[in-house]
Amino acid sequence: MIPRLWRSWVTWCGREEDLRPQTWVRILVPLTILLDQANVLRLGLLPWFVVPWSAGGLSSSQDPMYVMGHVMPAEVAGYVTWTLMIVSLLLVLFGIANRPACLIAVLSYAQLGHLHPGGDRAIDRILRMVLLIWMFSDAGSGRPTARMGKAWPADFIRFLLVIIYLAAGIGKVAKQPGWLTMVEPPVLYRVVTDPMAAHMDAVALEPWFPVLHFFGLCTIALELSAPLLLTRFAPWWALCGAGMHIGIFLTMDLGMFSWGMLALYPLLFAPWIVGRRHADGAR
Amino acid sequence: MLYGLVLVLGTPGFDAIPGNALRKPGHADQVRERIGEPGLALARLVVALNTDLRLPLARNVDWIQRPFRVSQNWTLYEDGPGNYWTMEVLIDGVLRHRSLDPDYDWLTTEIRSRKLRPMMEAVVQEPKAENAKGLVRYMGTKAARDFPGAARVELRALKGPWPGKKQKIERTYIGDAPDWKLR
Repeated sequence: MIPRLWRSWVTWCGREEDLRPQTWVRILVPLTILLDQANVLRLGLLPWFVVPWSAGGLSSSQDPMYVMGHVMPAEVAGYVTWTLMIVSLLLVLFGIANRPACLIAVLSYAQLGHLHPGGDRAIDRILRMVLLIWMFSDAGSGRPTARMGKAWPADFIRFLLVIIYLAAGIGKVAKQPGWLTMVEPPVLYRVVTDPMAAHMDAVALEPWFPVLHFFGLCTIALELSAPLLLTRFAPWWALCGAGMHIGIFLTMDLGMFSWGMLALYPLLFAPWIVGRRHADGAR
Repeated sequence: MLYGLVLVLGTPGFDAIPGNALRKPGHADQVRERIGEPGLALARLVVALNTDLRLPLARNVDWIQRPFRVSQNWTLYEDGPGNYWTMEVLIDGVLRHRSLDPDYDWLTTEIRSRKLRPMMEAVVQEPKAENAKGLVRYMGTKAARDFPGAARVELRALKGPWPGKKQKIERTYIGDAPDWKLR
């Protein structure tokens, strides 16, 4: 029984699939990070982020894993790291030297996070994890055209998304049971009118409590049903998930969070991208 | 192996279990009262799995994540604020910025950008936040550019019960030109 199950697992992990969704993720993930960095440049914030406080920057505490500041002067280490990250992300985006480029992108991106821990958010960590896994993807070069390659990197990211959404849903209900009740004001109202993280008008939203209750319940239902991502219902789930992320983008100031998550959605829309026959073969 | 690693490090829901769950005096009785004896037995099993199996395993493999900075607890926006916090920035005593107030929107785009907003949030909400000195220096430098001759920047954190409109000043950070060091 166990050897048979193990053989099935190994066969499943070793199977191939159409690489178009993986290629889209390889393009969209670095593109999202690059656009985020372009925004940092546009706002003139780069000199403040790539230099520690002691050398004139913003962040007064660095993670002990920040090593670039020990191998070169603090004033230039951040700029060098940032340039390494940008160049390696461009290489990943254009499908050139994918493996070393992914590794250097993740390490330099992580170094910037160690340098400025306050600005390194959950989405940065998720996208780094994806780049790390994409080192092993066969979609490391070329355009998103039909060709076959290893399926496991996509399977693993889908599994990771299940863990992320499920943990977020369980965490919400465990910390604030109000998500499931008609408590007033609705928890979602508090979230989207938080002056520090969102930008919805608290007064204007007051008549919309029933709608916010409904969307709050939808959020929990969506997050707790994330295991559907491992079934043939994944694209339908992803449609609702995309709606949630667009809603977050419209109501909150979380920067690239929504776009970073949506950059992974080609994996969830895989059956619709490659056609039903290929996708069924892949599952 | 990868799947096992992710499951051990990020088991959904297990992050929410406090380290001293069911160990505090009376806690087990509270749980029994709420979900009954079978529920308490199940809770004991989950807590034991977490503290005796998952956490020791997670501690042993956690080092793999550090150079790549990929560890996290996957708890994303669980709740709204328990209190209503806003930030005000005054330059030489004149109000120039207030959270979500279009009449006082100096530096709003920068302050609410993804990299700066979490820092500003921490400085406002946490007592003696380490990054206050960096934030005040940043604002002072920008004030010197936008308001020539600016000599003092004052960052105020206001707090009030939620929902509600009445807030009071919780803490203030002041920096003076030319180096904008905190007082």
